[in-house]
Amino acid sequence: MKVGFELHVTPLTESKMYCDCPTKNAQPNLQVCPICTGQPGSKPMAPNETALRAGIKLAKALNCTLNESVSVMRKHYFYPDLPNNYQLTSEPFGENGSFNNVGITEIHFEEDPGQYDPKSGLVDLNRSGSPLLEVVTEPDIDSIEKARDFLEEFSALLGFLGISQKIKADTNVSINGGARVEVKNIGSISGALNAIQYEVNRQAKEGAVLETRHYDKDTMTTKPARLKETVADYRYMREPNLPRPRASLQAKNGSTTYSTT
Amino acid sequence: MTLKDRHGAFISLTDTPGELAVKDNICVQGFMCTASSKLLENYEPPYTATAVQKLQKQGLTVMGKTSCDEFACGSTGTHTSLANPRNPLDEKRVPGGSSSGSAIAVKDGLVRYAIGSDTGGSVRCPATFCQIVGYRPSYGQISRYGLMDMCMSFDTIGTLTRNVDDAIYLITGMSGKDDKDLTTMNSVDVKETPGLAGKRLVAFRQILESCDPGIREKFNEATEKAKLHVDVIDFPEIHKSIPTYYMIVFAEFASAMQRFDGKFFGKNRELLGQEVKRRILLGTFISQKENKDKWYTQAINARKWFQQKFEAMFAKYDFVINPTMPSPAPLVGEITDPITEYSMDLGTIFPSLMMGPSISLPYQGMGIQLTGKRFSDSALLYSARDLEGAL
Ligand SMILES: [Zn+2]
Repeated sequence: MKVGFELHVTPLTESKMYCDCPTKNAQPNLQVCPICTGQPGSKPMAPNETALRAGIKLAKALNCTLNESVSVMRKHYFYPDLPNNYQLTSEPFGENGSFNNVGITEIHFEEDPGQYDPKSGLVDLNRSGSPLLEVVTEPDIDSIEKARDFLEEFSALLGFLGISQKIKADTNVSINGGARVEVKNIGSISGALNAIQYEVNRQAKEGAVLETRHYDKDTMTTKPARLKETVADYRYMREPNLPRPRASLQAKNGSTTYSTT
Repeated sequence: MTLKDRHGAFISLTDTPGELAVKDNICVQGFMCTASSKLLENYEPPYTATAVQKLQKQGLTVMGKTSCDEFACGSTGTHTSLANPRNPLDEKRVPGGSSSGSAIAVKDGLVRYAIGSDTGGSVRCPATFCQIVGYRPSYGQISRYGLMDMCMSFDTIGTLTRNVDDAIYLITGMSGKDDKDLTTMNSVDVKETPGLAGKRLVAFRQILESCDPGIREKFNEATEKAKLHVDVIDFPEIHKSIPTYYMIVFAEFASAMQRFDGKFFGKNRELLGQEVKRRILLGTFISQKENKDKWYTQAINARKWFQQKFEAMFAKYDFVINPTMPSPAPLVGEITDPITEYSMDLGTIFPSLMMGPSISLPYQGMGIQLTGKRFSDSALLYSARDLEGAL
């Protein structure tokens, strides 16, 4: 088996990524403003400094090569929890790292979408625009034990760095050189391990096709995603509302600044 | 609607008197914001644009929201089904766009001040056809927070007024850094400067040649009357400014329109007009992975080329001068194909590419446009005031 992760880390911040709305819990749709609800005419504010600092710290701890300057891109896709129908996501600011003998492909920052409940059809935008750090690993993991070790060490690292306790571990699993299956909606380390084990068994029995599946923590199984979540082309475009020539994330002497020149 | 609004200037109007009209793609709390589109007929923005807020703090009251080409897509000012904008000087002719209603409202004396948006000429074109003053500020001079995205790297909020002094008043009030528009800059205050004396002017032969003979004649007459010395130079590549500009516009516009799918904003997209649909489709096409390098990236590189070219030019000259529009206002319905409409913008597009300020002054039925380098707004405004006096 070959397993890799897309780890979504929610860094501890007071406010959202591109606006001043608080990130703490509240009644649905109360922690919102024109920016994080995508009102026509609104523009993103400067990326949250605390989130950027956390990202640089994490990239260094994962032995990544740091890129001095990255652009923020619009990633276009249609989904019920995404008011703009595009998500702001940065180019990788750290690349080619390694941690616990697992290759780290890249780390970038992005914004969380809102929360969509397919049963009721309701959307809560309190989470919309919250900061996320996404760490992508190489598919270097070849056993459940190694997957457990990696996730536990990674989570300990986040605690040690004081970045967050909140991670989501999307995982991709393939066996015997077969198609890569992505599993999303995993909320915990034990969930990730269960999902991997279930996928290994299922793929051995049913075979695998390139697809995205959702983990169901109650049944500890995976199911094909209800809505199409991957599109052929996100039409990535630099966010023109962030300053030209580029929104840069600079890592000099350990400090992080958002530069507008 | 009041009876006074004879030429389709307004989409929504209050009963209380005010002195400011705002183009309907700029959000003002208490007014619908339709972008002159059926799609957004019911959109009520929960906030007010920074530029409008600043003018309100100065004591101006918004009287109404003005018609425009749907989502600011057009140069005639008539691409909308929510109003019927007509040129106050000749009702058979178009008012010019896209900020048509703002120009009409000022020309008809319904308000003293109007603001619009200028992406590639959208305040200067209607200002010319309605014979008033239109000002496009430097990109980064005035916050765009609350202005609906059209083409984000070219969009600006500009002014439509009877004279340059009124433009100076509005631009002074709206300028400055805003945390909610990161492209705005510090220290761009408008200050009184010496004006036109000693300024070096240049014109591009290819823009002059693209104008109707009558327009060219008036232009020469104006420069003689104002005793301007103008160097006329060759700039054949200026014709490439049109495809460069429109490629970038289409791509960014398609991205900007992505949110109007009826989920949170807008209604059925069938309601969109033909020009808007055309731009979304073209923009989606040219920003796709397999087409991007051939179209979008090339346009971005061409923009860079133009910026460097202009930087070198502005080391030698203070302002570019040219007729704002190449012909008189077309008759309503006269222009039927988009290429003809786009090519009308040859004189107004280059300031967008190099991010500089540009002003159009009325002169005998045509427009005289002065353009400066980025953030030369003070020098340009006070020079334009001198030129206004000399014409
Ligand atoms: Zn917010």
